[in-house]
Parts: sequence; C-alpha cells; structure tokens
Amino acid sequence: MEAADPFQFVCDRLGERVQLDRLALRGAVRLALKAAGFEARGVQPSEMAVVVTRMLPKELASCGVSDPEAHCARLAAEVSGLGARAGAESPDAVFRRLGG
Amino acid sequence: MGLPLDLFVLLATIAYVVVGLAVGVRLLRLARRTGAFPELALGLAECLLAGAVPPLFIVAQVVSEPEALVRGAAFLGHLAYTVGCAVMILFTWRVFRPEAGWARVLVYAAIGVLSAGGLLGMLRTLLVPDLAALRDPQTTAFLVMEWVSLVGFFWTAGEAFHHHGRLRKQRALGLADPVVVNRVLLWGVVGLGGVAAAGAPVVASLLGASVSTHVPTRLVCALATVVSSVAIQLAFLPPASYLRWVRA
Repeated sequence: MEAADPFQFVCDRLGERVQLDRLALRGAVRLALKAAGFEARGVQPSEMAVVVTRMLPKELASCGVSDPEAHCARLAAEVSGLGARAGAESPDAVFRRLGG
Repeated sequence: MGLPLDLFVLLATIAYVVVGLAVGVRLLRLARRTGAFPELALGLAECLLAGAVPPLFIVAQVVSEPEALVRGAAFLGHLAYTVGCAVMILFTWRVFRPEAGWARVLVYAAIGVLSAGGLLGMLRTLLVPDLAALRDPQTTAFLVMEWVSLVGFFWTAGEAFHHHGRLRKQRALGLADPVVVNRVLLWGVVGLGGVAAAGAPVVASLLGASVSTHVPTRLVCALATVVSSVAIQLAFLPPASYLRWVRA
C-alpha cells in the first residue's frame, strides 16, 4: 500500500476530473476538512475517506461541480486504499492512552 | 467567614493533593511502561504541583521550628513549583504544538523566566534572615512564577478547548471516541482552574491586597482547586458509571 498525503492525493485526483482551478479546488477540500474538524496536515486516509464522502460533495456543489456525489464516492474508495501516515502522535491519541 | 473559609480551603487542598497524587502516580507508572513523554510530563506535573507544592508550602507557613525544616520546605516548594510548571508547559507544547516554531519560542522563554524566578525564590529561602520574611507569599520571585504559570495554564486551556471543538465535529461523523472528546474538554477545565488559581493571587497583588488574607482570592483559589480536582479525577481516573454516561 502506498503511503501518501491524503489531502494532496484528493486534490490531485479531483484536479484531473473536474473543471475547477487549483486554488478553488484546494479551498473546497480544506473547507470540507475544517467542517469535519481536521486539518490538511495530519489527516489519515480513513478519515479523509469519510470527509470526502460526507462533507466534500456540498463544497464541490457550491463551486458548481456537477454530480459531486459520484466524484466523491470514487475518490473515497481510492483514498481509503492509501497506507496510514506516520508522524507526530495526535493529541487525541495521547489523551486516549492517558485515560488508561 | 474565617472558620468556614479556612475549613473549605483545607478540604479543597486535601482533595487536590489526594487526587493529584493518585493521578500523578498512575501516569508515572504508565510512563514507565510506555516510555512516552506526555505521561511522564503530566505525571510529574500532577505529583509536583498537586502532591508536593501545597503540603510543602503549608509546612513553610505553619511550622515554626526547627528553622531548617521551614527553610527546607520553602526551598523544595519553590523547586517543585518551578519544575511542575515547566513540565506542564512542555506537555502542552509536545502534545498540541510539537512542530510550531512560535510554540518552541514561547516554551523556551517561559521556562527561562520561570527558572530565573524559581532560582531567585530558592536562594531567598536560604538567605532571608527571619522566618516572617521567608513566609511572605508576595515576593517578586513568586509573582514571576505565578505570571508564567498563569500564561502556561491559559495556553493549556486554549489548546484543549480548541482541540475539543475539532473533536466534537469529528465525533458528529463517528470519527472520535466520546470518552476522549470529553477527556480533552475536562483537560481544558483543569487549565481554566489553573488560570483562576494562578490568576487570583496575581490580581490580588496588583490590587495591593494580601494574598494570604484576602477573602475573594482565597475563595477563588479554593473553588478553582475543587473544580480542577473533580476534572482531573473524571479525566484520568473516571468511575465506570461516568464513562457509561459519557458514552451514552
């Protein structure tokens, strides 16, 4: 399995499939992440898949992208196949462990 | 109001010491197993700030002799306060902002000022000629330490509440454990308790009131201590019934 940046992966794939300039597209993905309580840096593929399914269609629709649900369903399946990212331990992982 | 307030302060302090020690020791045991920094830092902070500082300063305030015991307790109290605040600030940095350059600068500056205040306070406990002066809680050294503590707890509360806001959104999507979401909220409450407990003496000093006799200051500190004790207990040693309630 490939270990890639899920944010970058989603932006790259969407850029190949929809008629939207790069800044608007990245902005839409960032807004979807923010609405779900994530940041582009540190989001895991499994989390990104849920964000793409649940939050991104609305953002793409507001940018005028047609049939956003279909794009997002395909994208979610692809991003969930990425390998988990290594990196600094998240605060919630720390607090989960501290609870015993 | 003297006796009821004294009793309330005493009971609040005892609860804080007991809960802080229980949580601190549990976290230090966890740190021994995992070798991870957050539990080590938080365990040390709880053992020192809750378990050691209040008893040591009570001894310094109440016991009259032998003088070496009083000076030793005051010295160790300053040392425990300094190290406890430092590891609490390090915890917030390493857990919430490990990669932020501004946070690194803030941590270095805060620990530098805190260490200077702590060293000054420790030197003072050895050098002041009489015990009455030794017991003065409104020294420059102690005020410096309280200011840094205030900033540290304010930062801790801010980071915890900010992260809690994000976790609530994640929880709505089924991506966060409700117990962890609640634990982060409780940690923010502990931070607020620290802000109140460190801030009240600072405000009293700015108003020219005596920290040790000013009723509103003592009341705020005692209430903050009670709130912090409850929040620490529920966050790190929660009863099963509380966890069931949170999950429901």
